[in-house]
Amino acid sequence: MINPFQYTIVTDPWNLASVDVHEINASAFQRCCEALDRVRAEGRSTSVLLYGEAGSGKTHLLARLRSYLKNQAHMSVFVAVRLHTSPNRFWRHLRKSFVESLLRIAQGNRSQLEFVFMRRLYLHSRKKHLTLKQLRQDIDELSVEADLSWNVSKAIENLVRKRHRRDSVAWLKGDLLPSTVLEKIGLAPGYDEMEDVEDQACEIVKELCRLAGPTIPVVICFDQVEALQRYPRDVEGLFTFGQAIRSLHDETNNVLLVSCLQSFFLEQLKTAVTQPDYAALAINESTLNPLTFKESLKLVKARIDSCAEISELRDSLYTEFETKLKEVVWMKTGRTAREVLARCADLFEAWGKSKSLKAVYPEPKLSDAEFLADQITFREERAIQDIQPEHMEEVIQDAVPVLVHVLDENWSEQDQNRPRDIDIILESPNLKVAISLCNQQSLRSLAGRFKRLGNQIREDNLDKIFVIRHPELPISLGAKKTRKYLERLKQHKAVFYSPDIELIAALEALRSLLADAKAGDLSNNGNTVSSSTVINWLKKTMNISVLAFIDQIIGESDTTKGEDFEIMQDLRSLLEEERVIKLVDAALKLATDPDTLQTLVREFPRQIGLLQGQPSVLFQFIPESVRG
Amino acid sequence: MAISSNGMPTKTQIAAVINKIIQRQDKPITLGGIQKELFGTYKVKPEMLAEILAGQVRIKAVYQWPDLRNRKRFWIYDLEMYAQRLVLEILSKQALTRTELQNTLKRQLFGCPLKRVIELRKKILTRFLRQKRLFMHPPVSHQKLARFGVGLPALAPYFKKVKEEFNTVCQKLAKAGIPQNEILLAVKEVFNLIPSGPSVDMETNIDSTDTAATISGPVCKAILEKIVEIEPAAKQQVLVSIPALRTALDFSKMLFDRAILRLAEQEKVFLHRHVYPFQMTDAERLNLVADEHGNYYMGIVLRSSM
Repeated sequence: MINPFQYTIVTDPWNLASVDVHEINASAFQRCCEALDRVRAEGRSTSVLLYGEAGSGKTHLLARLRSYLKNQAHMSVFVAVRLHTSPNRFWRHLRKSFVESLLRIAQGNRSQLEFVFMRRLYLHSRKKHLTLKQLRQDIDELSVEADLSWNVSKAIENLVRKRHRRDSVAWLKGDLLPSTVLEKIGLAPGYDEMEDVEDQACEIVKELCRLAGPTIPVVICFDQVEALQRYPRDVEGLFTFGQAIRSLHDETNNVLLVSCLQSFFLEQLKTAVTQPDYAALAINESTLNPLTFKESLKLVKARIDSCAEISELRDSLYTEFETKLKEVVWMKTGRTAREVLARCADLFEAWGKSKSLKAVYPEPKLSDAEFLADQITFREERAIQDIQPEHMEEVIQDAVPVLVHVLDENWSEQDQNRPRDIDIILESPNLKVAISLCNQQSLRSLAGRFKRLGNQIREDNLDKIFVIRHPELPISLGAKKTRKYLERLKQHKAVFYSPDIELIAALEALRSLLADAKAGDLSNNGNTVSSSTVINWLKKTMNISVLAFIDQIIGESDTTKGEDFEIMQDLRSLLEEERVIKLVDAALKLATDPDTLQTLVREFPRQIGLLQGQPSVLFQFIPESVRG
Repeated sequence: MAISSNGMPTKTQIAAVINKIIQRQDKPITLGGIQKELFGTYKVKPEMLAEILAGQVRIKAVYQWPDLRNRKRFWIYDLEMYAQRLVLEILSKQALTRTELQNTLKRQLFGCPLKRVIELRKKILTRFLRQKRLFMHPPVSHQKLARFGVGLPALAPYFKKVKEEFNTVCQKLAKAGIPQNEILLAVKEVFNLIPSGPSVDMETNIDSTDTAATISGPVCKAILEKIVEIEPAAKQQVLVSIPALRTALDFSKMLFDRAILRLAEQEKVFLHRHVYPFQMTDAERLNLVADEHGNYYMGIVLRSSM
């Protein structure tokens, strides 16, 4: 028998829980619907700010809103954005989340993007059938009408015509593509090398809003606003958020901006954003309040009703839980839905045991430390499966400044006056370290970046530059110019680093865990686990490879490790060409000795394969998960 | 990290490693324990270790804890500060008597001698009661000893006997045909609870009722009016910050806190909790409203029926 109360958290607004009690948070939901009607009627963007305690049902409410929009006769677009990001890549994160949401299936097997585009085309031409020539002409006219850039218009045309789908989606999400690929899919190369990638992402988001047009409102829901605060008293992320919301509000006419946060965070938000920005993000406000006794009872009954297995016991359970709710669970000042469900889950378990029912109960109760260890393992495993090379940049840019501060509070990120090719600047009273994320697929662009970095390191007052490149993007031995500039960089305090997939997955797990904790979405058996609990736990138990990586960045010496990573980088590149090579031959080609190389390869068992014997052989290691 | 000319780490570097080791402990660690965790060239003689630690204690980078079985112990937290935090955490879960608190503290203070625990208990309790971070809960019915909690005590249990007596009187008088509302009016007269008329002097009313902790209608009314004055959109369920409301009203802490909780009990307002009250400074936390369950409320919302 399943415990009907065991699921207490809705983490994704795209998945509405099977049980939804409409009376709970009805006024907040109503406020959102009214605001949406105003967007439609007045042709003007507006906003709703929603706040409540952790577990009050903010994400659940967004899921309800999405479900409502889906079932409406009038079309609208739903975009969900979890704010797990660095303030310095806010627009890029929004662009990516926007496109991911647009590609979600709306009905049948068609995405929101396809529906929107077809609708705009239909409104434009009023024809149900088009020839390819007419389609191209209409797309051109629509691009002019909606003021779309060539690349956005072309990428969407590719998607609708189901051509170059993967590359078009990658470009729309903001991934860097080689110029040969851009040319192949009909996009203008050079677009990605514009001055500011954030400005570029901002423009694309607005273009996508314009694509929907005046008759299709776009509902953008920002969840976990608290996660924008990297460390205590940090206001940069919230400030950027305020500016972005105001920009979207002022420069679009079909957008409903819904922001969700915890009530205790409201004052911090008000302090961090400017008054006009706050006014733009809180045109309408509503609270998600603790449940009344009546609402709690309805929730409990709805959960009991949802469980077919206990239908025969329903009446006795109603009576039992109504009494228990009053006596044990209820508090005069109210309880959140998450608390009510968690307490009822315990009561159900006790009740089942007293009736000697054979039951399937949730996992045994864990201490916070056990719970966090479980969470990290789960998140790391998921990240190893899901993470792609293009995710590396956002993971590092979001996670590293936060983790550096967790390990040493003297360090923080410098947000102002960042040179063009530097993605992160970390500062302590004694050191200033820059990180440049160099995942350019085009080796020409990469060479350009290395060259510019070489100049910047001389001009700026930097103690060290960390050049990071994804391990699956080796610099071939033939890329002489790129290697020359890299070599010159290394002579000027630069360290080249290529993190392995496990490290990126570990960083991703840590950043998502911390973001959930900050947003009050980390619940151990109904009790919210605070970010300070997570931080204290991390200080004691942080993944050793993450510790080593952070130490590399903020430590005062790094040459040995830097060289190790350089050798590994070259070895990977060599194995791209050779696939299998004798250890001694590889050592000769890489100008190192076989013993050092063997020791090094042993440290990275999941990157390079080693067969010991006479002779020892190195081979390209392909993880099982990647094999066809 | 720079190494001294002879290839050995300097004292400062060893001290930094020692601090890291101590920071990672979840309880005080002995000299031997630290020695075990030191590695390679950082391993130093016990005398040198003691000397470095004495220096770290002097600059308050680490704190010395009472010896355990004659072994010196060190931790990142100062004993008294740690005990203060512990007292608040223990009492936020449940109100306890002095002895119960002392025993719980003893168990959680990692072998701290009883004499020192008693001293700490006395000192912390006195200070927190004075600062109104803790409140005394006078014994109820069968209890003999006062308890201490982070919020004000629930009042209903204190009226248990009065209620029984009142019910007996009601039953007696009902036989004489006197309805309950008449009896209630009489009670108000007997206890001087009938307000002197519509022009109640708020300040007098508040001052006189402050310590008696009787929350009169005018106090609650004044709070509700002030909420709308501070935030006109409050009628549309916009949250008002409790610290801002407190500042705007200038009531005593006790009166204000009780009135806020009373309004919630009467279902006139919703209260929103602060999820992490112990991450706030003492002064910030004092501005919130605490209840007997250890919840700290930071925001107030008028119910839609207002």
